[in-house]
Amino acid sequence: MQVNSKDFIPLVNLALDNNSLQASLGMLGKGLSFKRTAAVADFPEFDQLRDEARDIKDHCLQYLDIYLMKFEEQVTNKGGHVHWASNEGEAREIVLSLCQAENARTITKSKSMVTEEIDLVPFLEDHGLDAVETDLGEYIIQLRGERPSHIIAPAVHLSKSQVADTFFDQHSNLGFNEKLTERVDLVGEARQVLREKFLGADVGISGANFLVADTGTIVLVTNEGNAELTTAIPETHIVVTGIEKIIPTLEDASTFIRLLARSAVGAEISAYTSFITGPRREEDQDGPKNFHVVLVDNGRSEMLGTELQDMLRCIRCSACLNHCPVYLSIGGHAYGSVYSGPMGAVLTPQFSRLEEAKQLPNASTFCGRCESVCPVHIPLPKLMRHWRNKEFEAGLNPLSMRWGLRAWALLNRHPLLQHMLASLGIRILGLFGNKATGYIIKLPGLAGNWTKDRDFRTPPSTTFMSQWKTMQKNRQKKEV
Amino acid sequence: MSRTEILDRIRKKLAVDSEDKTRLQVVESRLANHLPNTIPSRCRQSHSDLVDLFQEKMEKAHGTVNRVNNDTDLGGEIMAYLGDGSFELCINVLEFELDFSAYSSVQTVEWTPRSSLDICISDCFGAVAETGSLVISSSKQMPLSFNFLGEKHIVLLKEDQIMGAYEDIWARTRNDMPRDITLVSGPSCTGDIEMIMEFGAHGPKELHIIIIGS
Repeated sequence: MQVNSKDFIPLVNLALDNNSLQASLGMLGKGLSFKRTAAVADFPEFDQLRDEARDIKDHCLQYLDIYLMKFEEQVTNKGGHVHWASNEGEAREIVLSLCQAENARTITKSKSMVTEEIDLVPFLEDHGLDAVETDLGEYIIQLRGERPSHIIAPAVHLSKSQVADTFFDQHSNLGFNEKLTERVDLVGEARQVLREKFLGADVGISGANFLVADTGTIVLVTNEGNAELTTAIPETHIVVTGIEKIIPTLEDASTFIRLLARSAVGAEISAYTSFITGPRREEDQDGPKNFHVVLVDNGRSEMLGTELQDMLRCIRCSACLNHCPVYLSIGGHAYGSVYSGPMGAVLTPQFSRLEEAKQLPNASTFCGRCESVCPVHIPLPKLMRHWRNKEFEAGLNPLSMRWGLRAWALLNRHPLLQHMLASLGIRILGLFGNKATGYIIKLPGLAGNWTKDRDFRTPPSTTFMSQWKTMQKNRQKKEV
Repeated sequence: MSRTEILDRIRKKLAVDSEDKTRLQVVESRLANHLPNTIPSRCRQSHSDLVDLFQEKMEKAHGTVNRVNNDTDLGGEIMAYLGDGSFELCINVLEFELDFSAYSSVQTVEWTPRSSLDICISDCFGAVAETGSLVISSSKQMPLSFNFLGEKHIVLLKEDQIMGAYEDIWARTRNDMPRDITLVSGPSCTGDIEMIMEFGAHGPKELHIIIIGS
């Protein structure tokens, strides 16, 4: 997985200064959180289903080897093929060789985060294949050479006029020479361009939202209908998906369908939910002759039996991003990973290296909103804390932070010392305060980083502990 | 090779034995029983309420719905929806007779693979009331892409085809799953530009359902 999370802090500063991005994030934060709340309020069974969904996923992970084999058996019985990829390199090679075996030249692709994780499309393009993303958001960022900034709304960082500029630049060679201004026209132009791609494609590549072990069915969810056109028209359909997507039965799939769109965008269901089982039947008039499923591990199995196992329940709904004060301030690109927000802060260190991604689990206020909206109860703050501990254990924090944490720990073990230093500290801080306003507006040294952006309340002249003692003494006197 | 490697790694991390037959039995019995989880209470009401619920939810998802008492003039109903103009209709309907002889501006075309269409008219496998979803199933008669390649899609649905919950679909299909079952809940749409919904991303821009009473 391509990761540049080392640049997290400079990227955050860029994001905070980017007015157009801030406007987009403002719309995202208000819109989706409000819609989710309304959808949940209108669905009394929601919490019960969340508990059940968590239990289904936990059960599947406990029997993951067997469920994967059952799924494979069913796909094979129906005439499809299952391929296993231990890492991202293997996954890319499998997909390439399947395309080459069919002499494919053109590929349509519906949205899949696993294919982003394994950098599939650039790899296929490097090998001379014409692979086009068909989800509108993915298509826009493909034209711009960007990565997704959100796991379900990949172009959410862009404004309408930026999309218009991109289409004007990139579609003129196709005979579209008018600069568009209306959203409906932009959607219409993309529809025309991509319709030709759908009708001519040799191979369709999709991800999977769920894999149903009992019937060998893959479940795909979209609003645009691009997954159906990707999977029904070409002669070959290749599914690229993570091993953790397995669920037992169609009944279980029903439970997850009820949670997914409500958690993601506050809709009761997406416009299209497809259940695909094997290749074209003899009597069918369309559908692929070749049906392949590539099961990607790429670090997932290593999470089993560890604290991180809970993260394998994730259904990629994006509720944790949509409710995260950090994500909503900096957007997805600052994370330097295709997985952003709280779920990205947990997955990225696992899928790349902790050294590379150590900043991400630190980019949390631990406010807990992510966990409270997660449809499968993933304890995201706890898992970010897991990585912070690992970071400390591996000695990856800067020396100043390590000494700072040690000093903090020492003070907390020695209350007397803490009280002495605290009363000294507030006296010094008091010297910087403005008596009239009750605020400190400028502090020297490291503390200046705080007052650079906000004021600091002048502390009272005595500490809480000494005030408490005085109160207790006075009370005793009264009682006597 | 990777298959063995992955499965072995999973078992090692879970600290389980591949020879352990009881684990296999747990999975096999869960699959054999395929018990439902909680089914929303809204899915279990009288059939006439389910028909109303279907209509309400489909309209909320920006599909349009028209209810008729019988199938005597479905051609007229369809033309009333389409309004004035000339149209190319591609019809894939088994259950009903459609008569457009009174409309000179209407042409019918045959479906061919990999081609775009103007107006698609079809019947369908059924519908689910809980979210106002049509159930489309690929079959000998129904290429899945037929449902996605028109500008407008008109679907004929008999009242008694409306089920309550998703689980009701599986009761009828599990043992012989078609290649594709798609739940269609409204016209094709996208919110990918500034989070504002536009219709007709890749599939039909309009979805119209005619519910035929029994």
